[in-house]
Amino acid sequence: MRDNSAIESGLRPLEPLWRLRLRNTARRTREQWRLFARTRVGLIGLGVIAIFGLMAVAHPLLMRYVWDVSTYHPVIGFGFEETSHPAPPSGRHLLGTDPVGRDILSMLMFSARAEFTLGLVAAVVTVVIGTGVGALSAYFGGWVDTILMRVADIVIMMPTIALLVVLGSLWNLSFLTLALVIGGLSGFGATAVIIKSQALTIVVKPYIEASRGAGAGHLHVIMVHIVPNLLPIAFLYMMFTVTAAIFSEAVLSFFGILNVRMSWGIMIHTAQSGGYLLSGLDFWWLLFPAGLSITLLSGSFYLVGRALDQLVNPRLRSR
Amino acid sequence: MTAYLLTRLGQAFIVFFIFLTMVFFLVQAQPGDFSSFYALDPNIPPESRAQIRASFGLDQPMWRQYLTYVGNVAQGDLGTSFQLRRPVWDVLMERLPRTFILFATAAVISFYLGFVLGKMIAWRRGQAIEYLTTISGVYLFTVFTPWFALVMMWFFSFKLGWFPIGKFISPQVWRGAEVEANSIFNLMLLTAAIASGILLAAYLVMLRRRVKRRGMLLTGMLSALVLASYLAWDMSGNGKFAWDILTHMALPVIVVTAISFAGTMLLTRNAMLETVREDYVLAARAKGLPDRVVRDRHAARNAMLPVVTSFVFSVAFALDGGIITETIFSWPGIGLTLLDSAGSSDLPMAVGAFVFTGVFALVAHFVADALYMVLDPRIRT
Amino acid sequence: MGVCQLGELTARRSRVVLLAAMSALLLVAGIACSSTKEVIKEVPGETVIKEVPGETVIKEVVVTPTPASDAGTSSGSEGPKFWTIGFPEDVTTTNVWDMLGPGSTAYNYYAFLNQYPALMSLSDKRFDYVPALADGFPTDAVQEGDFWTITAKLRDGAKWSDGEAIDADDFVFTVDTALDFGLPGNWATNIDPEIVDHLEAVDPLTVKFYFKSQPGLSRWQFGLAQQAIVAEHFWAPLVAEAGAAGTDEEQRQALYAITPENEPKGGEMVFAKWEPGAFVELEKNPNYYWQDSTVDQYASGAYSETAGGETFTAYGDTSGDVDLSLTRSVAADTTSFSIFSSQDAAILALRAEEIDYFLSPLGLSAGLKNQVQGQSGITTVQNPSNGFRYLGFNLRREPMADPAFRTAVATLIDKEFLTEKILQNAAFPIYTVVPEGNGFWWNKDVPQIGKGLDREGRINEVVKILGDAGYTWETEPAWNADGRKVDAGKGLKNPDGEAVTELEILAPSAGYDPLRATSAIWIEQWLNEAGIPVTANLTGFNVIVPRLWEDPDFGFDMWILGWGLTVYPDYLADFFHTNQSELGGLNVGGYSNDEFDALADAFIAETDTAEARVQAFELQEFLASDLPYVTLFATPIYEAYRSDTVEFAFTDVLDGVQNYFQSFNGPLAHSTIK
Repeated sequence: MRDNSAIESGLRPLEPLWRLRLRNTARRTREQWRLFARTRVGLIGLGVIAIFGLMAVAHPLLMRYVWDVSTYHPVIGFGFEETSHPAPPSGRHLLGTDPVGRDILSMLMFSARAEFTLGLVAAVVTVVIGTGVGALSAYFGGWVDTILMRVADIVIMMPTIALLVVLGSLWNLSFLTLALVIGGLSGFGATAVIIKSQALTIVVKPYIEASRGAGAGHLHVIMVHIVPNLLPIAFLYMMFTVTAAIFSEAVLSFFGILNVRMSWGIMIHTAQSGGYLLSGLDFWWLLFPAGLSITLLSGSFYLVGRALDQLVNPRLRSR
Repeated sequence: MTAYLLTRLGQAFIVFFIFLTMVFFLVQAQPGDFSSFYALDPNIPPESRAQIRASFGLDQPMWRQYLTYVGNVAQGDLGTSFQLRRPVWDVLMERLPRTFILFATAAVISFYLGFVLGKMIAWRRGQAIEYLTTISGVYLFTVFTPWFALVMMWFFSFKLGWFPIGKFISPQVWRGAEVEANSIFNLMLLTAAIASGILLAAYLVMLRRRVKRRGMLLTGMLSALVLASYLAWDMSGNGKFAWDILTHMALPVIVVTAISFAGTMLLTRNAMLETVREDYVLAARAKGLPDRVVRDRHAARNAMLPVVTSFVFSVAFALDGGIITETIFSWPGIGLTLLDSAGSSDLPMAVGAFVFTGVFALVAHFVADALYMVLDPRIRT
Repeated sequence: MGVCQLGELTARRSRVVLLAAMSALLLVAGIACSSTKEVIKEVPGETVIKEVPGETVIKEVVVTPTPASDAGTSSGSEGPKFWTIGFPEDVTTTNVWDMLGPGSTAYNYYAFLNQYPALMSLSDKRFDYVPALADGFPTDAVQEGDFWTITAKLRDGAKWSDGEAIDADDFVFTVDTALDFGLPGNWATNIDPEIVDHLEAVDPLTVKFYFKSQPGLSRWQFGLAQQAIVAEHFWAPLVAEAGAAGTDEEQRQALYAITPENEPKGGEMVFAKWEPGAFVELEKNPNYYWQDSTVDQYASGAYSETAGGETFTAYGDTSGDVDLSLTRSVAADTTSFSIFSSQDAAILALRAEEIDYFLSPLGLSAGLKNQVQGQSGITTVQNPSNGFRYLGFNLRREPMADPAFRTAVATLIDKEFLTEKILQNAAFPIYTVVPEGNGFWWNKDVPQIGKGLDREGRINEVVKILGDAGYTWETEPAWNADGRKVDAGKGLKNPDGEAVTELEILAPSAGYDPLRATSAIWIEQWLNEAGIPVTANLTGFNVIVPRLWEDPDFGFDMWILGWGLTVYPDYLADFFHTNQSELGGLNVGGYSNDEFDALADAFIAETDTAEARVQAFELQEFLASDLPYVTLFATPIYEAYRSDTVEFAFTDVLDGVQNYFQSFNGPLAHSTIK
């Protein structure tokens, strides 16, 4: 993904360099966007993510300016004005209330923020670890490579949910620990392997050799010449990590393994422990908002990931 | 070929060793020490607690404990379940056939389905069917599994009454049965193993002899094998038990398949897209070969290589799905055991089930490698 | 002590069991105490035990009465009859030594307890202490040399399922084995070597019990007299073999490891088949000693049983109205316990007629109840359960050690709001540790701290209570009439002028039990409003249990858990007696009060039921004022069964239909299979 625009810009020396760079970046972004948009599934995913993003951002504002805290608090709110709970959707509670009297919409929006945070932390951890492991493994090779890749083998073959269930029985799993574990698993596993193979194509480039020859240290070479070239593909795998994080959170919460006060998984768990899981459409607002949110948001990150794959991997571009 | 297998086997051993080490330190690092891990059970009186401590070498330095642990695991000694008060290994062996049969069936079906669909959508790139299949596949892939499984059960088992509601056998059918469910499971596994063995052998022979119309021959053999096993089961008098198990299996298999086929499908699609640009595919098309032939004989066969290697990903994924599915369907396999024991602080059982799951995945990984070798002529020769 | 407890107590032993189950169900904890006595069950969740006493009256709630069944036609003309019971978890053993010892899970009890006979039992619904294998009541304890002795006559003609007579030697053998092997768990509780010396078979139908000291109610009536008995002629060679193993522990393990084949049983059912993970099957005992006996219970309190042409009566005058009349007759030829690991699936199976009844220790949740209520062929019943949830204090630490502080906390907790609003009437507030459903022992006149106050009243009251006790605030909490809320207090200082340090409430996480988690968060909020610095730490059950029962430093402040209880309330003593306050004891909070201990000792030693009741009331008043626990609420239990295929003799009983599975006069004898 290096560009040859430097040569073009050389033909027009009058413009300042920063403007050229900006224009370049803009052009490249436009081009990428065009490719991305052509995948359609990526657009759908992005749209869904944007909607959830809006919800997450809107929640604190609503709590501050519109909603009464004692009624709409996502954890200790209580719909005093409804006669019984779970109450069906009404003007006061657009998506109804849960079995303990909390507003579903408020819980949903509050949790969206938590899910994004969870996904983001996990994704950042993945990128940091995945890039680090991949770069080190490719750059140094030898026993460093062997050990790191064997570890990756284990992590890849490990059923994540099984591991998390066991971890949950040994420790108290919170949102943060969950994010770290999932990010770590993804970073040490599949992401590391794929990034490493990308890095292998970079370490053989002449400028790496040149840089070393010019006296640059290992760290400098890795950080300045290798890592930046790995970021696009790392970014791609972030998406899959987010999917895994959201999905795992929901499943663990459902089985009562995770220790969080509110999340989409907890919402479903609350409905399930109240016995409403199979009530069909009678209590749809207990299940569908949270259940669909989990599926839609995690699926959308996955779709965006697939679409990015088409950009990063030129062989997948259309015929 | 042997050398390749041996190398892989050696690597698998290293991986297994690293895995055990990680588990050991995981348990070491948990709140409470390794001794409480095995000796916390208050039912165990102090003197036997001391015995247990000694047998695990808990009074020894850590490196010794580590060696003891690895040695125990290597001998299949995973401790004793607090809850069931039986050796963890025995419990796992009792439940393995149930998990294996469910999981293997689902893995094969979902792999096949994913491959067929992936090939189809790659070929129809850009058409509505591609978007539809991709999007529904992805959302099924990420669907909230416990709920999905329950809804499937509600609809197919309860509303339509097509399948039993959970469990792996019906008390009504098995009332007074002389045989144990596990022996039927084992017989079923044996039947399946023999049938696949025959098929695989036939396939390899045909490959070597360059027999034409392999597909048709294999299909014919498969039908004959199914018929033969049906007759064999029927005559043995255990047919109704096997059938009972099969009807209970159907829905969980459908669920696991539905949630996991998308992974293979998308991989196949990508692999196909890469191969269709190869010269030999272009050449085949230029020759005017029918689309289907180009797709199935030229493109798909080569696209299959990376897909098969990815089988290991689906193993892990299907095992995860298995935990959830087994719980919802009251299918007492390894996954349900893991979840139950984790929830009840039955640490030896939970960690034992986890180690076992890891080994299971490792073996599947190895099998996938061997399969890869069979498929890839560059390695085969 | 008697009974056992449930709950979380059990922590220890049964924690395993409990925990697990719980995750699926939600509740509280069950317990089993190591000193249990009779049957305990630990159930998941909450747990239970049941056994009990004397004349307990139970309050009936709601429930639609079902006509007494005319069972007795069990061997109907249409061939064998079956019924299938949905069961949330598998059993773990078929070995009685294990089952009543270390393997005492709730599910083992539900499925298997009915197979074993006992000398005495508790009557249906009222839990009166009545003869089972005994021919009339045993004698009172009399002093005889160094011992106190009790002599019991056995019913003539009672047989094991293989046709051998049940005789005095079976009793001697059972007790000897428990003592020789030093069996733990329920064995040790009922056959406590500190109290029980030995048994003697005076003649085949006369057993004499020798005690080292005078046995109180909890030791004899609710202890040894209700011990399950095994068949000597079957077990003697097997036990002898196990006894030949090495150390004591190896001997016990050898005993537990026996898988009995065709063991003769004396109860209504006989084990037939266990398909692990799928189902357990029991068959009718052809020689059930109580078969076809009839029982009448009168409004006057009298009990009358007719068996083999002879009538036994007790507890008063058999005239007047009959409350309950039934014939004990095993209706089903085969009973299957079919395991469902998902409650939702079990309810679908009930609706689809795959099972006839779903036995859930915690009952059905509101949503599941709605789902089956009104479905044709299904009847739902609601009954009080014997258990409660509570907020416990670590009395070894300040400020929890201060009664004024505890009173303030109790005042701040609006139990009515929690139960009526948050829990949607799925629970009711309780102010004493004996739940209302256990009517005979329930003291309704205990002080009800804070009852009926609104938020303003509560906060004012607390300012006064804490102020009087010498506490001060930097900012005193106050009711804000404009905002209709409390302006939170800040900087609470104890009477010594030191700031009250941040406190922690341990409670199950939302993932484990949303109701308790939500309650904990509300309590955190109310306490914070009053300036009490507290944080609810919602965490896994498996994190809470070790912190409460295994931390030698007792490093905790407050916690929210629950107990399942026995009918005979010896837990009144066990939960709070100083002798239970060491690490791992039932008195987790370390409550220690000499006055209380003296009352509790007297209660445990009491041999007269009426007197014991007076003492139990006194203990309850003591506890409700001194508040080592703030009891929060108790829950009713909802159950559902297919009334088109099975009929129960009665369904209005403490803990509901599952109560049938917890006593020696079990389910089959009281039901009709259609």
